[in-house]
Amino acid sequence: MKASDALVRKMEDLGVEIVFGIPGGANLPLYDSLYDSNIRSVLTKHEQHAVHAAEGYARVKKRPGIALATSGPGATNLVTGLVNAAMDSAPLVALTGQVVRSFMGTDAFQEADIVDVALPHVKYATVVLDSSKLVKEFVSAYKCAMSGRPGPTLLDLPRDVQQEDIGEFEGIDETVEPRFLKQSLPPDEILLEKAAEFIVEAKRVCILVGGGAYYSDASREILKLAEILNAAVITTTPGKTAVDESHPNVLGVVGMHGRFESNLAVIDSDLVLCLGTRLSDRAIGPPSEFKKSRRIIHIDVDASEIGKNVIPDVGISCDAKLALSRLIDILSTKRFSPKDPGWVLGLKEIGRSFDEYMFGQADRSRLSSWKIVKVIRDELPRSAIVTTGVGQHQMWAQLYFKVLEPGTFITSAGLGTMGFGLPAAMGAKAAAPDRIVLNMDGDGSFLMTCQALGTIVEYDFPVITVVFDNRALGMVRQWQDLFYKKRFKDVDIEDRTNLIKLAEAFGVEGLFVNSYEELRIALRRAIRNDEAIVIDVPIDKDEKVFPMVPPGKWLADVILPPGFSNNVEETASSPAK
Amino acid sequence: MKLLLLAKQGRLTLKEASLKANEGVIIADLVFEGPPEKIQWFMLKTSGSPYVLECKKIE
Repeated sequence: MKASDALVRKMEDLGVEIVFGIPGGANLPLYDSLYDSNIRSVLTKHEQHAVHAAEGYARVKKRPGIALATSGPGATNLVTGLVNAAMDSAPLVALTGQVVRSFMGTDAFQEADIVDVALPHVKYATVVLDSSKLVKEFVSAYKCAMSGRPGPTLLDLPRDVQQEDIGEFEGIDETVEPRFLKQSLPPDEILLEKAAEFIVEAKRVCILVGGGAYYSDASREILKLAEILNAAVITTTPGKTAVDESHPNVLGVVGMHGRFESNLAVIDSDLVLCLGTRLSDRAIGPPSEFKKSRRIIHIDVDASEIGKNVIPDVGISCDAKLALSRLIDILSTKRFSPKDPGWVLGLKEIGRSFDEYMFGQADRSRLSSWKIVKVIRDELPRSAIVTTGVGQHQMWAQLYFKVLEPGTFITSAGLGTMGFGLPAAMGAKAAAPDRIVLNMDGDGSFLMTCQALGTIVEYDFPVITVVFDNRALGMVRQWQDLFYKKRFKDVDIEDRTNLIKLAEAFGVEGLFVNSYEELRIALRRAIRNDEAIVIDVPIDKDEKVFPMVPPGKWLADVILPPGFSNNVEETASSPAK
Repeated sequence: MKLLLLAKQGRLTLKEASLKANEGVIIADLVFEGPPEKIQWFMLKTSGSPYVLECKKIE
């Protein structure tokens, strides 16, 4: 049996149902093996689309997505997506073709050392030089991607290795060495007991939910604990997808572009329980300020994250769901006076007044991004999956789009990869064909990967795209406005690229809307018919994302929309300006 | 290579290195130096890496 035939057969055994990629000279044997397989292969327009689609698929399915590329430029085009997956802890396996072994190291046509390029950013990468080990290496890479903290892996496959005869499939060694598998250990009981003591003593508890809580499936435990403690649930950007944001205890995203009440919750808290998060500066601001005046309990499946950015009072290396289940058990044996439910209610009220203020600010002559997000949320079913590009629209989405079911918000959080939204949406639709998938995008972000529309049509992945079109790189423009004295440089997109005609060129309906009602009608039709559409929504390039905490500043240094702060100072007891 | 890159990420200094090859597999003994908290991070980080056979702290 040919090694690539054996590889494809093992992929089938492991439940791989779809791969995204582009064939080329160096991975032709693998594609030839896929010809006889039930695995669906999706030919993307660019390898970056393939790897983002694999990530979108993985985030919905909670199992590795597969991206294929040929050697050289095919492989290097995957790099952004691999780093993106590493930053957001998404499981995927990249299989790259490589020149034949005898040509390796000769600067052969389309030769690139992709293993060493990818190595700093993946959990595991190797070039498979022995065809008899190809299947075993794939199984190891696949399991490694999901084991412990999920992440990307890469196998580089010389063309002659793929096509070598390796004998009978049944005789293939596929045992996975323990070094590829991170065992999920039970939480340390002594540390849990200490955490419970601190929680009992605390008056105002915040639960900070990271993306790890989603992969751990800890939503139920988080909300149960929040109810027991009358705690405020706040999330990082990747953690937004882990909980139902309509729950009374959930405030929303915290950080640089966090919701005002979420940032206030941290400022006002005396204990933060951090779950499955690396405590990035974007979420918590300066670690010294975050640590000041409050106790920190940090639970993460990746032990190296504990103490990396913030030294916690208690650090527990464990799966979030497992640790929370035990913590709830321990707390149920303790007697403590209930925490004040008025705290979260007050914060919620501040959030409500903020939303009201923002809606009140909307200029009737222009469409407001906040209202656009609201229309989208109102029209989408609960189970619909939303992806985003990167930029202002992403921040409006994280601020105002309420996740109602876990796993329904997919965004590029850590790396901030513009162009992520559309291919990720394609992957999400492949994973969940019965659900509505909508990509919220900006015009700058959309134009980076818009060729994915062609794949969407060809493979029937009906994805709805709403473009927040301000003809600018809005977020960069906002920074130049606020921090560079309005010296706008290379942020205004002067071209008049017609997004409608562009969509139509790919065979997707394009529609320009100029009112909330037109947007609503377009969405209803697309949802009802489950059809691909690009909806171009003009917004004002001077519209900014607020709240905003300036880079390097503490959450209390938040910049609020002009006119709002006076309203809040009367009700907020916090030091926020 | 992966370990050297991780050490670089953790701002550790490579003090000693010896390489052996066994049937094409490179086995490296590497000694790094750094502040205790960075060493602790490095040990935890490498404990989850498929590239590491053993990692121990030397006082």
